[in-house]
Amino acid sequence: MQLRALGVSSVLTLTALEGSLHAEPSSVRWQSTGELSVYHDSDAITAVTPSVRAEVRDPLVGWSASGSYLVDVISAASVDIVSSASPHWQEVRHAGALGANYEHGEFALGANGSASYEPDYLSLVGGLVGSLELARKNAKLEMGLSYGHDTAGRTGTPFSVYSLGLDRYTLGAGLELVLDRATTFSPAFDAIFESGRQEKPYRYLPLFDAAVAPNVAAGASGEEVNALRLPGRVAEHTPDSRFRWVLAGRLAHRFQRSTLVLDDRLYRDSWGLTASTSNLRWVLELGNRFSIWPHARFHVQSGVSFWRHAYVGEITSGTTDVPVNRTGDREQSPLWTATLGPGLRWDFGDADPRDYSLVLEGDAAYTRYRDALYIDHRWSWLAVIQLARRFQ
Amino acid sequence: MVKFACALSLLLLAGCAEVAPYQRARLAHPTMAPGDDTVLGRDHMQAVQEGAMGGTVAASSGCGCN
Repeated sequence: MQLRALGVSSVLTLTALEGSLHAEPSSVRWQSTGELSVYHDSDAITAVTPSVRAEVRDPLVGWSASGSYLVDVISAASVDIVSSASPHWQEVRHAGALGANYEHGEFALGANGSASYEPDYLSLVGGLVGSLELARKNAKLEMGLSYGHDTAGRTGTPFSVYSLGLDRYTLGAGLELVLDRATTFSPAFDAIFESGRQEKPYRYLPLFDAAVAPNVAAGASGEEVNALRLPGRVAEHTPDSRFRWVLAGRLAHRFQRSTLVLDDRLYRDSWGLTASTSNLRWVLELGNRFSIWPHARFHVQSGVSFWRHAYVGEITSGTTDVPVNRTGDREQSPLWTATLGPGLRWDFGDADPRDYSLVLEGDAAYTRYRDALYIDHRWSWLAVIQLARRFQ
Repeated sequence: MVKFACALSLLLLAGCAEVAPYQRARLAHPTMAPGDDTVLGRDHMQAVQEGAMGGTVAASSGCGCN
């Protein structure tokens, strides 16, 4: 309830700025958005995320600035936690982002930064994006680069005593093309290089005898795993560098009373993970104030090359014989996720209906883990409410 | 790779139509904008549950995925 109050009160605060800021007619335009999303899944994870966003821009002069802040309250008693005999776990994450952009003629340059903090994780990212309008504004070339540094630790232990560092460099390029009076196509390419430690400090893996491992079924329960595994557990270890390549495309078409948007992303990295993500959203307008849409998303990925749901090893006093690279992170395993959900938007402004808007969205997702321990599928639900205010 | 990207860009540019400003009413509709369906909570949840990332030119925030 406190978090809900935080989100709503922040929107009200941002909205209240209107009174003091638009006394004189101005080309400066403001938009503030408050959002609350609630996630729950069949693996006993619940996340409540209130957030606020604000953007101010002057289209005549060509500048804009934006900021956002969110709080993630995550409560978990998932199989990973229960299987490691850990108690129920709760954590709060704070994340903020700032951005600014300036356009001059056909050129634009933007800078952005973001930070995410929780007691055992700190992430800082900064980036620059430049763009150039081409072909009488029928095409826009965009290039960006960013640097990020993540620090992972253990709750209760200062980062100065124990931490794992990860550097991330991203180079991106994209085009925004006007195909006709109602269609745009935007291909983009990202190259991401990561250097550092990506192991999860809390994650320890069971090991199995070579004769037993083939008999450990995917999705085996914690009891079955404990009955078959060797004594002791071993910490995760993954390669210290990772190249990621991403090719993405967005196709948007405006019909008379609806908008169809298709997104697709192809992904490959040096750990051997290949993925495809497709997203569809078709916004159908019901009069001037209401619109509804179905939303569908499908993600499929292979596992990393060193993924095994049952690692073979032997732990004896003084010696450890285990695979060099090993992970229990299901995010790195072969899986697919299908998501489907509806959305509703109500614009209820007076002069311009979009001056005030309320958005309600819901998603139901099914994830199939094809080669993981403890779990072979997951159902999840996401509910979102957004309230936005635009003014000049 | 650079040559391939340049060739692909030229090919895509060749597919562009010349659309004058007064013909852009549909293109300017808010639902055509890339950020129209942004949901901060959903974006982060997907990022921590999947192995893939990226696909937007702008920098994205890091995630605490312990």
